[in-house]
Amino acid sequence: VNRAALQCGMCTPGHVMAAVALLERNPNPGEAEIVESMDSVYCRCTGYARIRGAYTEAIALLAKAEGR
Amino acid sequence: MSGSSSTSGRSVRDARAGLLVASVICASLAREAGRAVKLLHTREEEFLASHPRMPMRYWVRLGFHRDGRVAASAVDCGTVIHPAAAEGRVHGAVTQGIGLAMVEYVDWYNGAPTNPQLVDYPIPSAMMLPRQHVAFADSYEPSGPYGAKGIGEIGLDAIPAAIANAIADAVGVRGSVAYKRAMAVEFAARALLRAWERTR
Repeated sequence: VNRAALQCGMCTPGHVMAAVALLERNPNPGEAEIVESMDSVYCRCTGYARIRGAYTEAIALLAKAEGR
Repeated sequence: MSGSSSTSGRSVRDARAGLLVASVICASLAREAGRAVKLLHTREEEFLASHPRMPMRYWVRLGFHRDGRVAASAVDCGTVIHPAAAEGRVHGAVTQGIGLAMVEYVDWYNGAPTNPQLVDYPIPSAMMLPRQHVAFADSYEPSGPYGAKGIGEIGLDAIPAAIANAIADAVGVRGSVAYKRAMAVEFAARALLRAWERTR
């Protein structure tokens, strides 16, 4: 929501689940891994660009929370 | 008459405001005519009677990489009220344009779609899409709220045309964009066939 990564919100739960799964596996994923993770969920509205932004922010927040 | 009234009452409970107006008209017609009136909703009527949008002029400018990936779009939507959301709208619109032009196609057989599921009906996924930039024109729309215009799917409009032009430019055959926007494969195949026929 901070990153305006959703419009209709239909795909958001799927993207959140995919992101959490990815970040649990790898807390600092690269660009290719983020795109691969996003690729598992269709989004009709956003064009994925802002969802990528949300991933980036989530990674930064996670790193901050873990004091890295 | 009593039948018509109950129809209108039902539609109030259904909160279908569009139907309510028609029902009231039907009720008055039934009263005037002294007989039952049939209310028929067709798609054509729906389009004719629905509220038109205000006439508005937009412009969109696109930029492409040499290999055909969309690089950037500039859109004129008046005052940009929420930049992040507006940018998202344009990203999404470009994505939908790419989808319509390249992969999406509604196929019908006997009045029913043959590809009603996402399994059969592909839409662009994250991997298909390039990174793109979005810019907004510095403009003001006097008739809009705070100088804004609708941002909707404006970014979509130019994409299928650009792709059609690129294909026409590449293969030298122009197809009807209006009828078949999911043209890339079909269209290229047709062009190749024609080119092959010419060589015979």
